[in-house]
Amino acid sequence: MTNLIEGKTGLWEVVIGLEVHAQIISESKLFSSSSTLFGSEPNTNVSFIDAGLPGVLPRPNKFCIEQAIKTGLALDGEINLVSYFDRKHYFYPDLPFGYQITQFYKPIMEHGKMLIELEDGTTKLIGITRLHVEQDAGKLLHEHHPNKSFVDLNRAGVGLMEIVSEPDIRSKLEAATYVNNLRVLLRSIGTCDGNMEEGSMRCDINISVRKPDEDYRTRVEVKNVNSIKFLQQAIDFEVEQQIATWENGGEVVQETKLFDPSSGKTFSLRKKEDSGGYRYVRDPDILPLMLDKSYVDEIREALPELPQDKKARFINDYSLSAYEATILTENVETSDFFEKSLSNAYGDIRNPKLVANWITTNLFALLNNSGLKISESKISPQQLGEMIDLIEEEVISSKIAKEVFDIMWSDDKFFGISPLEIVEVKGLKQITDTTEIAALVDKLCNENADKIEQIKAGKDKLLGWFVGQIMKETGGKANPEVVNSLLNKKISS
Amino acid sequence: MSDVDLERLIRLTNIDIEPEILEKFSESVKNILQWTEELQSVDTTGIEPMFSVFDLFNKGLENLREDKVLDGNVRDAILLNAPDKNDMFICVPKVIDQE
Amino acid sequence: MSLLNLSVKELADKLKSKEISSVELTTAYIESSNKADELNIYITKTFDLAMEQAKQSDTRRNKGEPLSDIDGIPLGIKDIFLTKGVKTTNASAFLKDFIAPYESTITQNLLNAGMVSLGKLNLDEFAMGSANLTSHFGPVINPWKLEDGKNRVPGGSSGGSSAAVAARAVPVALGTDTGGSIRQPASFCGLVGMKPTYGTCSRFGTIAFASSLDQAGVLSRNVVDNAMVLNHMAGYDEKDSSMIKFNKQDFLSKIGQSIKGVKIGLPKEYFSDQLSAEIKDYWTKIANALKEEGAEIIDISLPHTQYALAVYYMVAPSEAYSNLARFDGIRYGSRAEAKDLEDTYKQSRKQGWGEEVKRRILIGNYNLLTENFDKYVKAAKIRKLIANDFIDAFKKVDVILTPTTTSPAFAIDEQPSNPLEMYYNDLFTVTANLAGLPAISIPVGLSNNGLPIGMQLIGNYFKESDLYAYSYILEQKAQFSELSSFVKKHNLN
Repeated sequence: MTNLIEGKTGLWEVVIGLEVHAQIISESKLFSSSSTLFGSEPNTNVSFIDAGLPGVLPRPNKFCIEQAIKTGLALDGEINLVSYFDRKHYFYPDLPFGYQITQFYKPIMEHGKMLIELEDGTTKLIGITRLHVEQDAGKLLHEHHPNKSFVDLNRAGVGLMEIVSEPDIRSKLEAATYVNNLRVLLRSIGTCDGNMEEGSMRCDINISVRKPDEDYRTRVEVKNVNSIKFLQQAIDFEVEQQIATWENGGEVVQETKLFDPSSGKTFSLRKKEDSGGYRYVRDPDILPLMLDKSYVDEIREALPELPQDKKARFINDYSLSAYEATILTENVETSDFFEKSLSNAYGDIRNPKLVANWITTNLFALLNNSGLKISESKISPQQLGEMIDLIEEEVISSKIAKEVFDIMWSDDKFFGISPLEIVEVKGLKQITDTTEIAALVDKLCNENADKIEQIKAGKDKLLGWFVGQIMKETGGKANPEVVNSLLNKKISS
Repeated sequence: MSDVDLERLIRLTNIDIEPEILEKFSESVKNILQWTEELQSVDTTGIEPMFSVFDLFNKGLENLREDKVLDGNVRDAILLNAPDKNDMFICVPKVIDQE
Repeated sequence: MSLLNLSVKELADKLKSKEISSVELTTAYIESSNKADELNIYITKTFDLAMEQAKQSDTRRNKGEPLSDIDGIPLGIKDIFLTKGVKTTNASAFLKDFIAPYESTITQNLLNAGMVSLGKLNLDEFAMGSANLTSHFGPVINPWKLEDGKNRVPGGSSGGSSAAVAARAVPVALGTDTGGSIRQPASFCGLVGMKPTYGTCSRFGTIAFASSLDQAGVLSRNVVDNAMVLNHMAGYDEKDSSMIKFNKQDFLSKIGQSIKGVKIGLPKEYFSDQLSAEIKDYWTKIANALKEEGAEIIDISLPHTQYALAVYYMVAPSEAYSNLARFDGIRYGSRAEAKDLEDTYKQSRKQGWGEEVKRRILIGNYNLLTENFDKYVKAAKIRKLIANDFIDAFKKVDVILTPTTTSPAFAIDEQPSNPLEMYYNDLFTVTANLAGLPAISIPVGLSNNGLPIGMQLIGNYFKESDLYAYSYILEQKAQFSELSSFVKKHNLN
């Protein structure tokens, strides 16, 4: 176990379970027909239902249910063919009904799992207890008035999936990998955009520490962490504090905390002693969700290839490294770009290593510098593929290829133009014609007979000068191998 | 059954109750709860709880709606009855603790 | 004052033949309504609106384009239905100034049929009560008065509706029935009151008391009037996703059919200690009368009846606790001046609600506390047993005959001090709500001291048409034609 932490009293193990709230991608809300659009004017994406007016009734959105099933299947979980909606009661101005509609007693999915890679290259399976569907709450704004808070219900009622892991996570890195994998997965199947900064994916961390091989100790819940960086900072802080508490003879108390990004610390929410529970009870306004097995099977059939599977395929079929495969399957856009670059018009496969390398180094560098996403790349997969062909067919050298690549990216005149045409127009074709190069070699050798003599006398380094001159003469287009072999012939003659 | 802790119940119900009717409540609440206690002796082995009538008739997903935006943009109508509001928002006393 | 003496059916015929106009009819009922002020039946009169609607109805009629057979007939609306642009109070201080921003499906359906809305009728606060004594706007007085001169209760919670019809302030009125709130007031006021199968009428726009029990229905002077109005209320509403799609019935279609060979069950459990001797006699008398018409009387057992009240008082307050959580004084309703948010909730709810509402949500909250939830589930299981009793019974009989109440209307100053005794008013009516079955109360005669007595017919799911047919025969046999003392006093016949 490499994750154990050395304390004053010995080793400690960190135990983490994560509850990820992922906003479902849908046009309309979970129980009403108003829009889910982020960033709309306050209280415009609100219907009478979302505002919890007297007499209104919720009406479930079939697509949201489908999205949840899709996600549940992608997490390799069991879909419950019968599940229910329950009411979770608490008072807060962002919760118009005085209860949140959720699935407490019987969620739509149970027993899922997620494979994560550990630092040492091994993998680990994290259990997923359940996935359930529920409503998001609205928002309170505190900054506009000295003694009032403002209620914006635009977000109230947007569909959420809460994905609850088992307490299988043992370090902040495992936690970070888990959340990242989950984000990659949800994005790849189009059920959540994973934008943590916009709050469409949020994390509650259940965290405790214990001595190895003992029972779980009291856990603390850190709510609403909205970045992977903060997730790790919160875990760091909480672990340190809990170990110190235990080691100083104290007791960790079960409580709910928030993470403050500015200080890197967690702090207690006012303790609600004896809340009496949330008084969960079946929502009588909504019929039980009764799914046909065939309906679930249809959704299963239609699932796209999942990032984990794609990664394994990239490693097995294309002999990519785990690192390359991970990067290339980070999102569908990247893996699509890679696979499109990889195959030519006839369906033949190009050199995967070479394609991967060009994407992960040269293309990513250009994207990074210009702040573009791969879907906005100025070079198309087809252009990249054709350029790879030119390298493989020795029409251009790798060095020239970089030049072509830069032209394709930055020269608007050549936007979308095939690399072959660029090579021709710009006259960048590699000279492999022996006679042409031989003539140059002859001329150079004749003009520098003294240097030839010096080489023959053993000053090998001068050979490089000759190669350099030829390259200079040809603008780098001469095939270096041809140049070398002709020079050698000349010298030894 | 033990006495109901009415003070606690009132606190948990998020309501304030006039002291003069608290005593009346105490008696009637206890009465009713005692009454409901009688149910515990009924044999319900193998019986599913009935939370709504149409647990009996439910026909799958036919009552779910399509994912279309057909509602919203009724801010004025929503703000109409709000006791404290401005042009765009419902207002509440400043909340210090956030969740 | 012959117009007031006519049934809805007769009025419809006279409107059709243009013997009368809707304006004439509406004017007559407005005058009559104003005479009834002493009964406190209205919370909000909408007489100007009514005259407008009546004119429009007459215009349609004159163009030969009436919207329905009941176009132009005036209607009283229990103030629990949201009516757009009109105050909707639910008889509560909490909503005393609440203007509904949308129209309930039920009232919209009746407006679409051309009915003329006279106004919003008094009820028990949030429909919680059996005597209309809990309204913020004061008690409603039963138009039936005895020589003792005491004011009697009109029943509840649809007490404004029953008193209004019995006082001839409206020809017909809407009610809602959660545990007997249509049938019991109908019985106390000598009217026909129908609670259809759960889900026959949409609940959208009706302020919820207990969602799994609430059902809208009609209070009328006779069976045909009742069916005529229900015909235009019922029907699948996609806004209420707890409804199920069923074939629309014509509730008038079977009226006039013989009752020969129909099996009528008399449940032995309803011969309870609470039942007054004279009502017991009526029960036997009516059963015999139906037997004379060829019906078969069969003794049946509904073995879990004794638990019905207890189950009801677990289920109804618990759902009410949850449904009333949205009344927090934030988005609508009266908000108390308070020192902070939490106090705002507590004080608003304290000031907004009367004693009975508070009592019930306290009970409901108690039931739903984590430590008590098993008992709640137990009650829900017994509810299933009660429903199963009926399902079994309907394998043997077509309809069940019982008294509606254990005794006739009591005097306002004779209300039981123990609310438990008050709850016994619902003894015979709650079972149909728990099971979701249709049930109707029909007036059959007067008690020894001269107060109306009602009998209840409970039918199988979606058998309203049959129920109306049997009720019609019962009505013919009972020949109940007494008028309330108020009608007699004011010569409203």
